Amino acid sequence: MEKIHISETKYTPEIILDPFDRNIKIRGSSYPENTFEFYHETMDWIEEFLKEESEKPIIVELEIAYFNSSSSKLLFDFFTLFEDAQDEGRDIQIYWKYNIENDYGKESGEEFQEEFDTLNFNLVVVN
Amino acid sequence: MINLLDAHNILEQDGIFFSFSGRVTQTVLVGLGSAIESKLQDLHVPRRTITDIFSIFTEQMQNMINYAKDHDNLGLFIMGYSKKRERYFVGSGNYIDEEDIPNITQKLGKLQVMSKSELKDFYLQTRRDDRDVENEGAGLGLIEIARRASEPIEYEIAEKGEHMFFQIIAYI
Repeated sequence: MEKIHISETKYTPEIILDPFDRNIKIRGSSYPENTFEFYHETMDWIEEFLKEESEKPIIVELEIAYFNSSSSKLLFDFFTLFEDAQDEGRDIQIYWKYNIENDYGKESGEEFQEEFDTLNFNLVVVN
Repeated sequence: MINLLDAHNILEQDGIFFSFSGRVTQTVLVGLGSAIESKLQDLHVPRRTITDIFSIFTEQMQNMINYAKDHDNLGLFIMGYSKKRERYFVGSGNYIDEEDIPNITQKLGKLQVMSKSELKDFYLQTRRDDRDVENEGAGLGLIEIARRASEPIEYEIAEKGEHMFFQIIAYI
């Protein structure tokens, strides 16, 4: 699998998908015009990557300052993939990062944490 | 000659300080969104309130963008501060098909009577159940607006000639 790097724009986040470091990183704001189209490649990559049998941990870092409702749905779908992969034996560590002043970053992280309570979901405050 | 200042004064009477009329696109959304954010920062509005306003603005604009895709629609948008209610407001309006009215009024009616915690549960449930990837989460957007608004969403549907005009306003 190849490494993918999508640059940040005003309304779409930076995405780094690294199969060698086993790292999935999404950082920035997310309110694309067509959310499912924007994340299509990322979704396919993650699905493919999670199929590879390995016990080495996969690190997922999410630092999304603002996301709209359809991005929220998409994040939900990502977490569903991670949950399924974990059931298949993958070791997945999720780090949900939010700025200390961003109440919503914290609350939305907590809502995902509650929804996916079997995942290794860590809330991380960033100054 | 058209008097721009008269038009401005009419808007100002209602506390409106941002308005848009035309076809809403993602570019319009991003530009207006930045302008609104900096204006609110200049006014020293708390960060949480700015996020609420920005989020409601984005959901309303994207609903209009998505609806306009098959309707070649006129989109109207206003944002301002109501001295009477002591709240910021975000409103938008567009023409809609008569056949879409029952669905939207039913959705909004349901949201209007929900408490904050009911809205949260409904949001989570809709996000869980909504398997229709094609609809861009239209239902979720309205719930998001309701969750972030300080009062129930207000809406109005009016007959304009052969068309129906729909508008919603959220107070923050």
